[in-house]
Amino acid sequence: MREDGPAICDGKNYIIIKGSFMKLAKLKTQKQCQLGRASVDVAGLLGHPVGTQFRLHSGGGKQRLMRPEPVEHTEDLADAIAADESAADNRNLLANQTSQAMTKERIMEMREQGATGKEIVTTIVDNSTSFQGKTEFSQAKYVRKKQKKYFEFISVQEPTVRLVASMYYMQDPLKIMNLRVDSLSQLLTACSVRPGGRYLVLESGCLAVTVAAVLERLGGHGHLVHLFQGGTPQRHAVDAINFTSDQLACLSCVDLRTLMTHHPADPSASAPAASAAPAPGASPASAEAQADETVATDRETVAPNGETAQTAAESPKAAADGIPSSGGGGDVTTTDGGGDVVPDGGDDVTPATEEPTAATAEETEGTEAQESRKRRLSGSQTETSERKSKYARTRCEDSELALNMLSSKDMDGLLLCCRQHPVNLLRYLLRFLAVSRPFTVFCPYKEPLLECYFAMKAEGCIMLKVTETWLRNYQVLPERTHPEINMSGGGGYILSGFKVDRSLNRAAVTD
Amino acid sequence: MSFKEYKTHVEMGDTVILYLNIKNIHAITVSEEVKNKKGNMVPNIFQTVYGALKVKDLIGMKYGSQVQMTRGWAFALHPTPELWTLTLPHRTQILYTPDISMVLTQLELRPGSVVCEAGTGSGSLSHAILRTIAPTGHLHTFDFHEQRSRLAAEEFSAHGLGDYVTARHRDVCGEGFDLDSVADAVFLDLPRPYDAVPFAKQALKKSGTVLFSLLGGLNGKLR
Repeated sequence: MREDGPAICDGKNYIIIKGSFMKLAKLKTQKQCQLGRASVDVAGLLGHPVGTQFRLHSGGGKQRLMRPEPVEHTEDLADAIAADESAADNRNLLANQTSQAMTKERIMEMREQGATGKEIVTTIVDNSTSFQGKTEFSQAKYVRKKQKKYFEFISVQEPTVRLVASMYYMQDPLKIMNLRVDSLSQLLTACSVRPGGRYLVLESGCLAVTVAAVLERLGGHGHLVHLFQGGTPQRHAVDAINFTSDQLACLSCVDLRTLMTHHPADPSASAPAASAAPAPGASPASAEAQADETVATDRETVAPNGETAQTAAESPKAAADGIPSSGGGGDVTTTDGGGDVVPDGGDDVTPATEEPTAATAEETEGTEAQESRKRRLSGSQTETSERKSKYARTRCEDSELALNMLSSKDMDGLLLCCRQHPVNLLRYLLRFLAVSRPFTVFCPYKEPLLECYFAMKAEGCIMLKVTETWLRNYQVLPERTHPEINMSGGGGYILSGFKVDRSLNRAAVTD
Repeated sequence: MSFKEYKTHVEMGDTVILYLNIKNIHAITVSEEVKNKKGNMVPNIFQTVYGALKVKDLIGMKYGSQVQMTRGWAFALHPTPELWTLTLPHRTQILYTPDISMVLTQLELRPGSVVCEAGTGSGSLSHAILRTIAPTGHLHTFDFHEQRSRLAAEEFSAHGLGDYVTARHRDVCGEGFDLDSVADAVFLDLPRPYDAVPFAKQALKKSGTVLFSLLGGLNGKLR
């Protein structure tokens, strides 16, 4: 009749849902899937359509290996277990510890003997002396509560951005900067993410949720440059979702320091809290001004050596530009180890005088003095390209592609979602955005966004808005529909706006 | 034609979003002439607080640049579904971007998705869906009001989106979607959504999702 969807396959990621508990797992035939205290026999899941619900049967024994059986419908025991009697109100109910005759040990015994969830809950209800004295609603609530504990239905879902983001938020919101799923959805529309578009996403410390979200919306058409800070970009959400190689080919990553080497921040601007900023900025700018070819050849000579030389050169510049280096996001490894060639950061004068030659000097020094590091890095690069063979390019090629994509400075959207204060990053990255295109910034706090608001107004951007969305869950039951008692207070804030070209009229902004 | 893909310069037939200030944004269709209230064709001149704009002068301008007018200037922005939602002519109450965003996310829409929508209304959500599911997806949208259904179809066509959408005049609560197992997602924003649910089930693929809009109140959902 109706065609089944794709089947649950060996070796792919899936989200297993048990009640309100979600877990991401890669299903492998010979292994079991751990779900809380129990483990599920994976063989019983494979081959069934994705989205199927299974009832878990206790396999018995100490391992608590559960055998899944596909079912068409799950049962809500509150409907199945109907009491003969109920009270009109709770005036006769006494709260003492004696109303339940079943002990914990007896229930465990029942479980081990392979009793179904329905049997266990029915037994508990039957052994409750106060059950008949409850109101109908109260009885249903009681049964549902017990059911939650002895619930034996699971479903296996395809990991999508919605599920993965909700799962991370539920497990630990701080790991993804309080990026609730509704805020994530706002980011995607604020940037008007569309297939075929070219987007620049700066993300650090969000488990790659925004990257995965944009990638999902691109669907293999268009491009996404993932800008990150530190040594390795976070990939959690991107790896969790079973993206095809076409879809993944749209993604390229480059770290911020490499980008800033090729496109230094404005040298003439007096960057706050960075006294050494003008000088280091000046030399690459002048080098670039001399001839684009010079920079291009530098790039070419540097490229075969990978990022080794670049990171050595970047450390002082990045530090000098007053942009704090990444601290957040657990997995990030910094490559600050280029200590040998970095001039003493404390002395402001020295970099200024050294810098004119330092840029090229460091690069050559880098290749010579950093041989051992280079070997180590290229070793890890081969590792990387072998392990992550589903990615179309090596880290180095990826970086090159990303830089090429950005060099035309006409991206269709800019999205910032980083743990660092966004204002300087936003000021810097705005240059890569085309005119009449949106940018958006996510922050768990309002105040940094207010600073960004005024900074962007000064840059001449329009349609600036700082917004926050609420997500309120409701219990929906006849005559008992109401918002749930607890609501998430933190989903973060979003700044959005459009970049425009004010070259016609440099007069003061009046809106 | 500018809804289909990003462009750099304005062409005849485009929809340009004219931005004067945050409270004053207008969608203008670029044409030489426009029909006035009496039904006559007159030169397309758009009046604003900053003066008059000869709309055909927009042609060739770069999107994102300033547009000079007799008493000031404004910005010519490239249209996006979000800007369209803010400037479209209302025929009904519409969905705004915060709700639209959640609909797109909860229905897990992406390029290639096939979506059913009832009712079309003024096409606010429709434009956002089309942007998200193109170029390989399709939107089947239904409205029981003949004129609104037709206007929406005209707009989709004028915006270059005609290939990705089928707009039909049909009462889905009474007659269903006339679709079988094709949709990845169904969105219902109706006075009596429960009436359309069985038809939605038929239109959906086995792995699809349905979403209700509850603007009309929760009473409907309970039934």
